[in-house]
Amino acid sequence: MIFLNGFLGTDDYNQSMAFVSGDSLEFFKENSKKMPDDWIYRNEHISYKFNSQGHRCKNLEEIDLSNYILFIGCSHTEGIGLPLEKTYPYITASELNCDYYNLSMAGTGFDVLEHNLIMWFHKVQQKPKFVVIQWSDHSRYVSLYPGYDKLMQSGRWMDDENTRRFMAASEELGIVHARKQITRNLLKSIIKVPIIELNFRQHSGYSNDGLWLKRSDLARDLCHAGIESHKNASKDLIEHITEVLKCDKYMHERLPNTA
Amino acid sequence: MQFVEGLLGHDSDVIYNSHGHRCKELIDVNLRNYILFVGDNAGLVLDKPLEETLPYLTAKKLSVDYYNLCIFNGGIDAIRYNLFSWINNYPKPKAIIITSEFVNSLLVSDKNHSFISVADLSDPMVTDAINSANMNGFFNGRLMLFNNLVSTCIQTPIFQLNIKDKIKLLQDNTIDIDYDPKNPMPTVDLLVEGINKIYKSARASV
Repeated sequence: MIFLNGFLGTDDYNQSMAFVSGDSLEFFKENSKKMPDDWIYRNEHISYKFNSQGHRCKNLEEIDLSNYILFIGCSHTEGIGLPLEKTYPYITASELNCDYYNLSMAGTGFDVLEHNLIMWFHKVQQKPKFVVIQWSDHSRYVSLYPGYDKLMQSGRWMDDENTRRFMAASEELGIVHARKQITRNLLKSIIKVPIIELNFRQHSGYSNDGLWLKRSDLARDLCHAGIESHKNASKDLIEHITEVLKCDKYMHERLPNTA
Repeated sequence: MQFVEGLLGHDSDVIYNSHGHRCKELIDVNLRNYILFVGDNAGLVLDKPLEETLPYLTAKKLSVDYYNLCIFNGGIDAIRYNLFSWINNYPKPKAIIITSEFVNSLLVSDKNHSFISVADLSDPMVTDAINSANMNGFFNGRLMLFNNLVSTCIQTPIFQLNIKDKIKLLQDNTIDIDYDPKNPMPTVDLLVEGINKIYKSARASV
């Protein structure tokens, strides 16, 4: 994880790869042995192309900032294990005939999400039509180990004693809930366009008024949500957005495909 | 603690305004000419009358208004929340003064977000969480994110009042002044001098 133009992005910025850490070639080879012959990912080419800010979408200067949606989340929204064109941000934006930017970063929590959103609204003067926030596992956070100068992601996959103790205490004492409350309220205070909140079923929810998306099939890494799940997520999202747009004629005109 | 109109304040008490802050009502502050205080205990000075606190004395000497967003034991989370909520919703202050005694405070809440308060330091589990957060890089990571946000997003001059043996909140792009909460006057004088310098150079550039 690295600061790029103020944003946190992946170290693989400006690169294109066939595999990334969570969806590795090694896993793919193993999975190929146990999956049926007609497993879709045998022939599905996936390219992870990260822009100059370390995000999986076009460069900021290529985005139509007069008509775009801003997405943010973790690996689900970054689309790990899927071709870009099969991810729900891509499908949603295509269906709504608008552009999009995807600030998501795999393995990160709501601290990175908050950072990148505050940075976006500071740096980018043109506001998105709305912001789609996919809340990640709430136990995650960025850490800077003593003696190091680079931030790294921490989460349930960590096995050091201090991380496990801190996560357990955070849940027990409600530290994680206070952090969530601060982040959620701060974003609502800063973001002046509609926010649509998404929760994936395997993560703890953040709000009762958000959309709940389920994993009905699996991506190439056999861990993340697959092609059908993303298609369904996009369908649910567009239905929700259409409802939101009914209350806003201006945005409705800008996104004609929701008519 | 409570959220009032997008700001985090203390629970109701006679010493606080309706937003839960130790200063006059927000509506009465001249937001075209004011300085902003953000921080925790050192900026509140709860053991002294309002008129003897550093924010009051500084603003009085400068003949400007002020608003005080400091939260008791709030630490970096309360500071970050109030600072960024403020700068995104209110006119820019002439200067921001930050002072924090307990950067690594932890806040707690419940699943329903029905309250928010400071973690009880007498609870052994809290001290254990603080020790773990020191060792696993949580506090350092939180501090680095905050520093990056402040240095990128805030153009207003920031004065940081540093207290002996306490962790510095901001590492660079600040004007640092030493601060002894028991003897605030030297700090008030340095602060007034520093802010006046900025006023003068701003006027000169116009």
